[in-house]
Amino acid sequence: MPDVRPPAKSRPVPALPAACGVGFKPQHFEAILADAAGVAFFEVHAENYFGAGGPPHRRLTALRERFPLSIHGVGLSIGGAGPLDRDHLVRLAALVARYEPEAVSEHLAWSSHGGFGFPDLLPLPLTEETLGRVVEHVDETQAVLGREILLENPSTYFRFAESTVPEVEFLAEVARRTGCGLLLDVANVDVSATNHGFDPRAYLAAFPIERVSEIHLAGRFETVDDAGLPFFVDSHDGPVADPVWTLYRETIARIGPVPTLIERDDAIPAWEVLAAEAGRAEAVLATARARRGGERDAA
Amino acid sequence: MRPDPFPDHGARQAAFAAALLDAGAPVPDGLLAPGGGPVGRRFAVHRATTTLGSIAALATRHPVLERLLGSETFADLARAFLRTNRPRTALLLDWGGGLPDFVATHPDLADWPWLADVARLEVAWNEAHHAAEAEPIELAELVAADPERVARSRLVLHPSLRLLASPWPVAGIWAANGEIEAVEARAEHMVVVRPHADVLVHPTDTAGFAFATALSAGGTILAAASAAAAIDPDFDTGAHLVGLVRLGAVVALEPVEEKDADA
Repeated sequence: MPDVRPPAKSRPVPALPAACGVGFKPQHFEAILADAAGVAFFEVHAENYFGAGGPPHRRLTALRERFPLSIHGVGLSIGGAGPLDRDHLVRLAALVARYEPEAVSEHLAWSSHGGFGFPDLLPLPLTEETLGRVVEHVDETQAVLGREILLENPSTYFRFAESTVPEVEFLAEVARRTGCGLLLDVANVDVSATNHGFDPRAYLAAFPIERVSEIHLAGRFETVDDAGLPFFVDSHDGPVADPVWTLYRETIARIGPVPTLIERDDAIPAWEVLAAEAGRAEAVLATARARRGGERDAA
Repeated sequence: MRPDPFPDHGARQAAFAAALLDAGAPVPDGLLAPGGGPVGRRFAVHRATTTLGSIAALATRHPVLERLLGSETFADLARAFLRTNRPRTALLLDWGGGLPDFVATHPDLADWPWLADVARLEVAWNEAHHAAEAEPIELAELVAADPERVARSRLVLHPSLRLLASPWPVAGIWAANGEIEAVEARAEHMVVVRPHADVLVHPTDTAGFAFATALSAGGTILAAASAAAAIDPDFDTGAHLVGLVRLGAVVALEPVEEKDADA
C-alpha cells in the first residue's frame, strides 16, 4: 500500500491488550475496584467526560491508573455533510491528552446538521462524495489528536438509493487513505446483515482484517419491519446474542486474538453479569492465544 | 438509469434531519428495505432514539423533578420543551439548562410554583458536579492571616460554587426526593458547592446570601460585609467567613492593594 499517510505528529501509543474489556458504567465503579479479575481494559464514551472535573473524572482517573483505556466518541459526526465541530474536536483532544488512552475510536455516522444535534448514530449514503468527506474528517481528527483513530462499522436499518460503494470497500478505502485503524463491531455486522438481507460471513471475509485493532460485541433488540421482515435494532440493552458469539468465535479463529469489548449502554445489569460475559469472550481469546503460542512453538 | 434523488450529501442530510425533527413528516425518499418494502418502522427507530436520548439526558439531570411529576408527565414536559429547545449539537452535557424557565412558564404547572426552583437547584447541582477541581483552603490559613489584610482581600471561590435563592423551601423539597406534602412559601437561600467529590447544598440566611453573592461578584470581604450588614445590622462577618471556608467554598485569599480596595 504505497500512499498510506501516517497521522500528523504521530507518536507510539501502547496498544490495548488482545483480551476482553467492558464498557465502563459509573454504577460499577466500586465493584470493579473490588474485583475486575478477567477484565483487561475499559472503554468510556468520550462525551460523558467533556465536563471539567468532578466525580466522572475522579472515577476515570482511578480507573485509568489501574487499567488500559479506550476512549470511544459517539458525537463527533465524522459522517456529517458539514465541517466538523471544532469545539467538540478540541474537547476530545483535551480528553485524549489528559488520559492518554491506548485507543481512540469514532463511528462512521453523523449526529448533527444545520444547527441541530441528534443523540444518535445516523447513517450516511456511501458514495465517492461522502467517502471524500469522511476521509477529510478523519484526517482532520487525527491531525488534531496527533494520533491514529479507529473507525467503527455502523449498524444500519435501511440503505440509501444513491449509495454506490459497498460498506466494506468504503471502510477499507477510508483506512487506506487516512491511515486510520478500524473497529469491527461484529454485532453491528449481524444487525445490518439481518436488516439488509446479506450474508454476515461474506461481509466479515471481505473486511480489511489487517486494519482491525478492536472488536465490539453488544446485544440487540429483535423485531420486524412494516412488511414483517426480521428487523434488528442495535440497542445495547441485553446480552450478546448467540449468532453473534458464533460469528465472533469464527472471526477470532481466523484472525487471532483482538482486543474485544462487551458494550452495554441500557438496562445495565450488575457488574458480575458483565464480567461473566467478558469471561465468555476471554475464553474465545484464550483459545486463540494458546493456538497462536502452539503455532509459534511448532515453528 | 434512475436519476440520483440526492446528488448532494448536504441536501440528503438536511432532508433526513428535517424528517427527524418533525414526527408528522413523511419518511425521506430513497431509503430502501429489502424487496423495496416500506421503511416506516425502520426510520422510526432514529426518531425514537433522538427523542428518547434527549429526554433521558434531561431526566438524568432532573431526577427529583421527574419523581415529583411522575415519569410520564416528566416525559411529556420534556417532549414539549424539546419542541422549542432542540439540542444544537449531539453533546447533551451543555444542553437543557433552559428547562427551569420552561417549567416556570408552563401553564399546566402553575399550581406548583416551586417546581421551577427545584429544577434550578438541580441545574446548579449538576453544574457543580461537573465543575473543575480546586483545592479549598484550610481554616488555619484564614486564622493565620492578618485580620486587616483579610478584610481587604477578595476571595477566590471554588469553581463549582453556585448561589440560589427561592421564595420556596426548595432545598427541603429537593432533599425529600419527591416525598412531600403541602408546600408553604418560605424563602430559602442556598450555597451549592463541590469542594471534593460530593456536591453540598448548604442553607444560608438572607444576609449570608448577600455576603456570598458580593464575594462571588469579586467584592472584598469588607465590601461584602457591608452589603450583608445593610440587610442584617447584626451580621457576623467572621462567623460567615469561617462558615464558607469550612464548607470548602474558598480556594484562595487574594489581598487587594489599598488603592484598589474600594474597586
